[in-house]
Amino acid sequence: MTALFMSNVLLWVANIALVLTVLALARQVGVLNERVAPVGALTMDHGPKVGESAPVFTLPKLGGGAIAIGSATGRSQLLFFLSPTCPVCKKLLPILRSLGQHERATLDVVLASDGEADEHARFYQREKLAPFPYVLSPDLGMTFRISKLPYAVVIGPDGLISAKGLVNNREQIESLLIAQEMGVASLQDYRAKTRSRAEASVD
Amino acid sequence: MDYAVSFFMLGEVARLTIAVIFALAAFHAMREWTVFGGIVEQYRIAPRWLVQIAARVLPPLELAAGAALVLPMTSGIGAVLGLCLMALFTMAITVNLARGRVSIDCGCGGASGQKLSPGLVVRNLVVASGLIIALMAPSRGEVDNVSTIGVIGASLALVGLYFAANQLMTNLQAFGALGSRSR
Repeated sequence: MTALFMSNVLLWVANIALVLTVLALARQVGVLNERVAPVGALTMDHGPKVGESAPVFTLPKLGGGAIAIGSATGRSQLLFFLSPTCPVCKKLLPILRSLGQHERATLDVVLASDGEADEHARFYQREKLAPFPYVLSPDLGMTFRISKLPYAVVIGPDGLISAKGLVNNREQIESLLIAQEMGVASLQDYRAKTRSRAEASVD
Repeated sequence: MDYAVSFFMLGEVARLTIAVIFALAAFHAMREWTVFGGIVEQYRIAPRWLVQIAARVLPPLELAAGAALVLPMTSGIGAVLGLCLMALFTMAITVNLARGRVSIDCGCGGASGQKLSPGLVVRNLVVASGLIIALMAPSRGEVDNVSTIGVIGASLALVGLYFAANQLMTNLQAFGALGSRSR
């Protein structure tokens, strides 16, 4: 009886360990795939780089009027690429709203997307997006090479791209603005700079 | 070992496995309510006012079904509730597959990045058949140590396999996207 019990315990331990291994392998394949994905031909070029001047667009806004994007207007612009079918984008809308309010002295938040106009018009109405300029332009997304949503691009008052990236939460949006204030492209860039500074001071 | 005892053990495995799956799914959905609301909404099967209610009600229902399944007193109710939920989810997925809206997030465990596919329907049918076993199997029976270890071990292994299958389905979709990109 004891032998049967022990052999059962051991077999189950081995079985579950194997299942966990399979799970971990599947997960690793998934993560690997996410990392490898941008190497594909289409996404090789990640669009205009940070520090370059932003491509200039003049686009019609939903609800009338037009807006200039990317020109040196003396104000910063935060281009937020979204889609009505992206749940995380929806989560970020209230955050953008408070950010737009808070930083309204220096920053314009612009929502950008593409697709069917009436679908977006409904989304615009429903989510009460009237405080934001909302533009529909496949060209804009293509120029910035947006492949994943929600994506944000910060354009400085001088018309230069000061930061950009895939954003999933408040901290990541704020990090783009902080990157702009500090004059670094990204956290990675910041770390590289501080490291080289530290090395310089050692010399 | 007679038939009733083996059927009871099988039922226990089904109940425990599905209870853990439901509890984890509910946990993920409840961790990010807003995102889950967005996921329910993009299925486009309920009017907007109902979506917000559904997003608030579905995860606690999943949790309740899971909790009810593991208690011998309520396991029948838990299985029926679970079957109703699976029917609802599977219907929502099938409708959107038929509409060709395959690129929406399935919302299996929060925003997992898993898109809709026929594989999901098969997966749900497997879970539903587990629930039918849970419903039909006797909810009380005699157990010894070896069967207890067997039930717990098999349930943990099946939960692991469920998540591995989900991950593999997600990977497969990502490979599909890679293939079409290079073409």
